[in-house]
Amino acid sequence: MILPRFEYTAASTPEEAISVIATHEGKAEIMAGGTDIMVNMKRRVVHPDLVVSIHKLDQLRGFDQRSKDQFRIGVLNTMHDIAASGKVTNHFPALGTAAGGMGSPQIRNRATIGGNLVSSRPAADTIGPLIGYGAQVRLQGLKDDRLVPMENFCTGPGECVLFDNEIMTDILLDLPRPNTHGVYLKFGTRETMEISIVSVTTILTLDDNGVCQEARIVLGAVAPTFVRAPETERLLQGKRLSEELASQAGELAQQSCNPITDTRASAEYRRMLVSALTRKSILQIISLK
Amino acid sequence: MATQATPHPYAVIGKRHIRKDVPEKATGSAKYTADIAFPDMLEGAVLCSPVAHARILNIDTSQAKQLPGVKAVITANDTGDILWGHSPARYDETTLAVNKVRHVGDQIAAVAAIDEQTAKEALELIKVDYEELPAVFDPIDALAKGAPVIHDRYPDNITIQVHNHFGDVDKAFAKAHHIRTDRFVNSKTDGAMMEPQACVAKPDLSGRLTLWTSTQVSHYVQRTLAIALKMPVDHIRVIAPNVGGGFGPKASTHPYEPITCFLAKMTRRPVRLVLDREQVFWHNRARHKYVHEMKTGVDREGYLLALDHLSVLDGGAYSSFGVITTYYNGSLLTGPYRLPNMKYDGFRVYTNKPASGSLRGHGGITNRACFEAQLDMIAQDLNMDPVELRLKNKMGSNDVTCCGYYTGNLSVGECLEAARDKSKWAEKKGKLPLGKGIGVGTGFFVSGAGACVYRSEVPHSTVMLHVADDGSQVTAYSGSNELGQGSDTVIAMIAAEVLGLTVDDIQVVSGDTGRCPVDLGAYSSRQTLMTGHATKKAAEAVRTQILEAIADLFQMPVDAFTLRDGKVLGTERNPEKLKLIRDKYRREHRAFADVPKEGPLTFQEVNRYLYNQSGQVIGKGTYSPGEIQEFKDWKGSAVGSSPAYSTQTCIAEVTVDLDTGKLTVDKVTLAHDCGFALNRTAVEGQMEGSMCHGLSETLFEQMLFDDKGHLINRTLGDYKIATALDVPELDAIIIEANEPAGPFGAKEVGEGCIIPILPAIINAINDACGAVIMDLPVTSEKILMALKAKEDAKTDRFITEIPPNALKLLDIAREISQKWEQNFKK
Amino acid sequence: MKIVINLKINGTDHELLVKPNETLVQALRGAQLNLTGTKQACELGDCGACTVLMNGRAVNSCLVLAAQADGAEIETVEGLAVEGQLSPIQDAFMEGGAIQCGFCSPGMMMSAKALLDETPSPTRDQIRHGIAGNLCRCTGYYKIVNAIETAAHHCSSKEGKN
Repeated sequence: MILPRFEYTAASTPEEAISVIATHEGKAEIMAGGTDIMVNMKRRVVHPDLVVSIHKLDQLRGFDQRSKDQFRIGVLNTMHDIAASGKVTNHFPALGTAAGGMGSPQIRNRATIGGNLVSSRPAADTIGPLIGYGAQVRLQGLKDDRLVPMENFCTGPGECVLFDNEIMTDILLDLPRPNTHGVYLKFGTRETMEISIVSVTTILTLDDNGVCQEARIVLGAVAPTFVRAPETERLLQGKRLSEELASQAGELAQQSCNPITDTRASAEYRRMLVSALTRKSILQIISLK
Repeated sequence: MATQATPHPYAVIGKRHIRKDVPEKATGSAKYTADIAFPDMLEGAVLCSPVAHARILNIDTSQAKQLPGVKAVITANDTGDILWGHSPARYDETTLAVNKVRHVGDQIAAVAAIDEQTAKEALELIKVDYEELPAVFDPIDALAKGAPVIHDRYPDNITIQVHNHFGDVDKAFAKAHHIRTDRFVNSKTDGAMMEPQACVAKPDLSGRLTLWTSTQVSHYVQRTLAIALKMPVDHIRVIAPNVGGGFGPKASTHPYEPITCFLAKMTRRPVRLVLDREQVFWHNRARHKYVHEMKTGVDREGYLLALDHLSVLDGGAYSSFGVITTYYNGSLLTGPYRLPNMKYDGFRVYTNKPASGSLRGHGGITNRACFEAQLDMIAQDLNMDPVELRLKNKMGSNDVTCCGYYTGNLSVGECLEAARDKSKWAEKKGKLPLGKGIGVGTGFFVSGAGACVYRSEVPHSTVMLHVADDGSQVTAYSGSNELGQGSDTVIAMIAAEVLGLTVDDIQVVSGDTGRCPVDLGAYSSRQTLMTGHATKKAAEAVRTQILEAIADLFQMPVDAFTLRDGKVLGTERNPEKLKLIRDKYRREHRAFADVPKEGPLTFQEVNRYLYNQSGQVIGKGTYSPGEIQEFKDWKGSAVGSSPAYSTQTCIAEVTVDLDTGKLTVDKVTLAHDCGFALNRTAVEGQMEGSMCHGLSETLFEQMLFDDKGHLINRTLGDYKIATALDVPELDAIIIEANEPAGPFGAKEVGEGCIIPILPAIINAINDACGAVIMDLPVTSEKILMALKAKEDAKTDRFITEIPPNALKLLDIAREISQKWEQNFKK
Repeated sequence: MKIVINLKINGTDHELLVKPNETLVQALRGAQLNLTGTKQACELGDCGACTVLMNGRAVNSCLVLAAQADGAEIETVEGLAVEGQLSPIQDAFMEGGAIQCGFCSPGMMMSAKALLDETPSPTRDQIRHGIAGNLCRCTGYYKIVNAIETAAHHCSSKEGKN
């Protein structure tokens, strides 16, 4: 399978990248790690005239704690970088799990978190945890930049609010409150290289008595975009975690999803998985305490 | 997991050897077909049909021909309408589509150009006018009245129907204590070998062609090309370089091979054509999709009385190996249990999908899975242990199946007991908590097909051994095909054993029709037994020449001498004779260094002596299956006959997550009777790989088509095979029954071990949670839904039903069989 | 328009002329370098047959543009042996029966190298995870995992001696 013909340039600054893609009016594509766009080009899903590589933009790499409460993740961090970062996995364990379970080692060494988010797939692994942790993404355009909550970033399968003349530069997260536990569960067929049939991100902040102060539950691959499970979150709020509560939460979570039947699973089965995984994620948090 | 060797007297075989082909593979210097390049080589590409069934009204190649860099564009106008295929009675393929296409992916036109990009861009410029025809993707639609006809020669869309009836099943059922009827379906699967098919064709100035191709069967490809290209056979040389896996789909000629040859002939330049992964899927030639209905009767004690087996195969667009598959589908159930009465009615139906052919375990997989799952349910019904039920019914050695297959030394009981004991079956069966299960399955497979494609007494293998004039090396020439299964090393080991040499002393040239005598190739697990025999005979012929010459020289009987450790033992008894020979040898050529001063003559010395007497020492050995157990009424069961059979037992231990249906195969115990393990490491490797292939097929593999016949999952990401994280812990036990029909007692290992893992997993799930999944692949959704249905029905066991279309298909097949039987009785 | 790239391959500097849409695996296997040891099996990053190390990390070279490899250090299977001396990984694969058809082997060995470079004494579970992106249809992975374990012991015992 060969790539279509295109021209190539490697941008030296984010501004250069933005300027080039703006000039090409939708006929240029940004390439970071390439694991997504190379496949799309080989399968003729996209055919740009120009590929603009941003792999030289070191300012889009790295993690740092911006302030006492805020953490920044550069978009060019690979899945490996994220899963291997003690800082990230310590503060945001669900994100670490998601990044570490995506694809294969080879894919994780190239796939960037920015690419994963921009793909906006309902099964993209890092979207659920970032929504769960309340992340915002910075989008830089020709003249200015804007912050978009991750929850509002994706608008449909493969679609997002990123304009043709913008690039994503950073992901900003507030550090979770103490006693916050995050779990990411992904269900597939094989043990690796799987696109989720269903994913569940559960992030619970507990008090010293094990009572849930805040719950954020994000469901993946069961709707056109990632969705929260608000009724389930409300159920958990203010209650002490227990096996029974976990089961009730699982049952209720099914109401928040709108899955399809496709070649990988039926809608009915996906609902059952939402229930099972939500329950399991809460049980896992109970066992962590 | 390293297996323990049983004591044996051999110096070379029965041990572990690094395979001959492995060092080059370890350094990356091993050449596969796509690695071959010539300075003036062109790249080929093939236009494949985007529609499932259509008449071709017109092909306009003019624009493609004008693209700079394009050197040839061909259609059926150039390649003709000669029919070829695998079974001569069912030749139904042409090199390029003649007038119609029969599946998405069918080959329409081809291009040779200066590089791959140009060739593929040229394809986009070829304009094809189609008249789309109604297409059928399910055998039920292909058999319906008024169904579109896929091949004019077969207006009912039936490739073949097989009716093999042995004994009297009706009488037997009348006496049965317990009868079960069960049904089973699987999914069409792909070979998914790592190396896509690839060809390089190179013409010489006289017009002769050499084709390098990733094949399992250099010989059959050569023969088929002669037909397709209308050339004399020996004007075509087929060479198999290193081959990155075959597993069956590469066991017959594929259209890309003659296409590449035509492009090379037309351009008079070398042409390379490498399939991309999608084309590998479209070519397919792997596991059929089957429907099985089995009615089995046992007596009060659980002895098998009769099996009535009705089956329909979804063949896809061409016959490929499918005739043979349809026969194996019946005959391979006649062992390894005593089955006195068997009725088999099998049908293979054409549909507008990529053609199915032979895939590892060919015709012995899904029938076995159904039968073994049914046996477990019979055991449950009779409150018997499933291993005990199988032990009761096992065939022994020197036994005969109901259709005349002779079992030779067959270790069914030993395999069952070894697996049972190693897995601690007795401690686990019936004692595991809900959600954990243990299940058993056995297998039975041929060691080479007793009959081949040629309707004659043609030898199935010929091997030639050629000793270097200074005796420093022996080269074995064999038309057999090394696919990575280790056949070259088996040849070297057998020759070394007979000649008292080491594996390093033997070089092997194989898979090259221009250099090697004919061998039918790597399919039906034939090479260890058949090529092995031919090698042994060739080595014995060399040994005889050596020993007779030495006996004559020393004026002693032949049996006074032995070849061992690179020497001719016995020659040391006459030191004067030795000195004469050695002095002459030393004087002859100063480059013969390291001449021993004492001790027996070396292999090198004696061969130099022979060379001086009468030229090169050359030995030839041939093998034919010969007379297989006579049986009065073959009834078509010649397909399934074999010089020897392997058997194996697999025990799987699983965990079922009762919330999600997710299945984990925790542990597998596998016992395989390979007769004698010639290369222990290679036998283990084949057992491990074959079992995992079967596990992968059970859990993950299915080809999914949309309603227009497009393959939905046509990448290795969407068509899933087992990864390193999916394979269970494994205890492998090699059972050596010592098969008299095999060289040094050896028989097959590559295919048998894929068979029993499927039913072992199905039976283990049944044991774990009462869900009997008779529909492959076993998915977590199927398990969870079965659990839900079981709960709703409030039963201990829930057996999945086959889809309604499959049921209807069986009804139609039954009707046709009954009509056939009525006519036959008349 | 072709692009000039400079990269180090198996320790040797190379200047190559590549097309913009040329992948790294195509550049390696093509006429300028003839490093055909790295294979293409799926072309979409699903199988790992084309695995090479890029700046020390295992990548699917079918998904890397040659142009993006400008300035990079690439290691392929041809670079495993040093001056004719096979590496412990190659020895272990050969002796342990971890190579059957051999088509997955170059990529598999490179993944093994990446793993052992980062984790010199991996557990069997870590080994399986390290090769999780390399498909093999022949072996069932058992002897591959054993070989990598053997190679790890060999490397660590050598270091111990030093």
